[in-house]
Amino acid sequence: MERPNTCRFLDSHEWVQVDGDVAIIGISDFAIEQLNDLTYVDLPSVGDAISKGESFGEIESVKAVSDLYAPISGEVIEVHDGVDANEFADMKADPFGAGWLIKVRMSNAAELETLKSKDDYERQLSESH
Amino acid sequence: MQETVFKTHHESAGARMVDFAGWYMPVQYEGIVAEHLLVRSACGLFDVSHMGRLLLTGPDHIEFVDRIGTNSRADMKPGQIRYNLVCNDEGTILDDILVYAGLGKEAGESRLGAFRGSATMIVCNAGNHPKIAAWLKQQAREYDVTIDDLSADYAMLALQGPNSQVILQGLTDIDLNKVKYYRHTVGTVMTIADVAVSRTGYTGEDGFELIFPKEHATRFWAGLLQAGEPHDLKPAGLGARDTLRLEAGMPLYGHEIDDTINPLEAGLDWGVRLDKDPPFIGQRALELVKASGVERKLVGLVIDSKRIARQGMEVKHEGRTVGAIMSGTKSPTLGTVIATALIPAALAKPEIALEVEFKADQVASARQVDTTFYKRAK
Repeated sequence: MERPNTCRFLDSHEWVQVDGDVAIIGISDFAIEQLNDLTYVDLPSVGDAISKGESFGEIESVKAVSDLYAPISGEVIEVHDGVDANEFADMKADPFGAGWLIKVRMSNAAELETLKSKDDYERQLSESH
Repeated sequence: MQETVFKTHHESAGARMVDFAGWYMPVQYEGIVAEHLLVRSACGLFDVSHMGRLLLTGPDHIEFVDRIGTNSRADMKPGQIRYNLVCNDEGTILDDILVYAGLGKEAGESRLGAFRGSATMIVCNAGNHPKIAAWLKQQAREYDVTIDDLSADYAMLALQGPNSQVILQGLTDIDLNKVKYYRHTVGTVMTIADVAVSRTGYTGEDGFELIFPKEHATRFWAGLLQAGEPHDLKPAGLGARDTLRLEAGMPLYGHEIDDTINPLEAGLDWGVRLDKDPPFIGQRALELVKASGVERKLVGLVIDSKRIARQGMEVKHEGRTVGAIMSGTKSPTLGTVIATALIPAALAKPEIALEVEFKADQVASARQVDTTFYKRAK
């Protein structure tokens, strides 16, 4: 899958794309494929604060529950309710676009600098497999 | 980790491998849900070689098996198979096993050939194999019985699903119509002699399990997949094995049963014969439990949530914790979140509503049902 060059990544497979001072957050195709049989996602509410490095929710598959880690800090301004529709169709088909999870007004855009570029993330993936 | 003889076959088939009870096993190939649904609608092929396979012979094998197991061996017919439980003196469970009565004919020449004669085969769980092998050896001291552990040299495959008979029939002259449910025979499959073929399984579908010398692993794996191709046969992993058995109401050691639980609490009375004389190990303790009534009961739950209830989560009644979840999943066949739980016997009634606590402020209501969530149409 062609991953957008505009994405920045955490080691734990969360991605960020930036639109002004808003960060759009999701998880990568790799993570979705690893989780496989997705059953549930637990997302924060609009107005919640999230902190870089801390869990902002959970994603669940038949076998396990995984935390979702915040790549940046800020206030949640939009939540993709219904991302689980049709068995998470949007996440599976378009993990970097229609499969987005939350939108956050960033409190500190400098935090983006610490994230991995797409190339570095893909290098990480090929090194561990 | 220990490996079965099918390791490279799993890897070539794109399996995701995991450590299961110290064994390097496939948890899935295409996906747990896909494999589960395939078994229910067509056929799946499972490597179950990690399980223990012990062949007992000698003058006392029947008496011995009656001593260590809760179910009756003495009144089994040749070729019959029974679910059985090995308990300790306290009546709690060391393992659940299948006991196969030998064919009572002339023993064949191969090691497994003894199974054609007067013998008993015990198939036990992979995780309990060392414990059970040691237990049997210890208990066998007073009996004239020989225990031949076939596990390292014999492989085992399970072919499960409505298409299993048509697939296997093309590979053997054994008349599979004559191998009824919970019956077995020994015959030639894919030109290999002395293969044990049983109509058993851990999925709730029709199916067969095959035990054969491990040097024929590739022939059996490839041969079955090739014969099964027109019938949609594909490999299936331990993930699907777990969701299938849970739907079908079958216990898993370490979840519904373990050495803190007795068979009566687990709803396995049908596998226990309290009238045995001499008594089996644990019988006296279970007679007392039967007389006073069980304090806890295993129940099935259908949970009103999208989240899956996992082992260890608390089960509540009117806000108070009364038990715990033993197994849980989202049932691929039924589409609902199902679970088993051990709760006080007094609360084990369908009309009593319970709750499952996922987290501190996340609770879902649970409806009690029979642990057999799914029964195949006959």
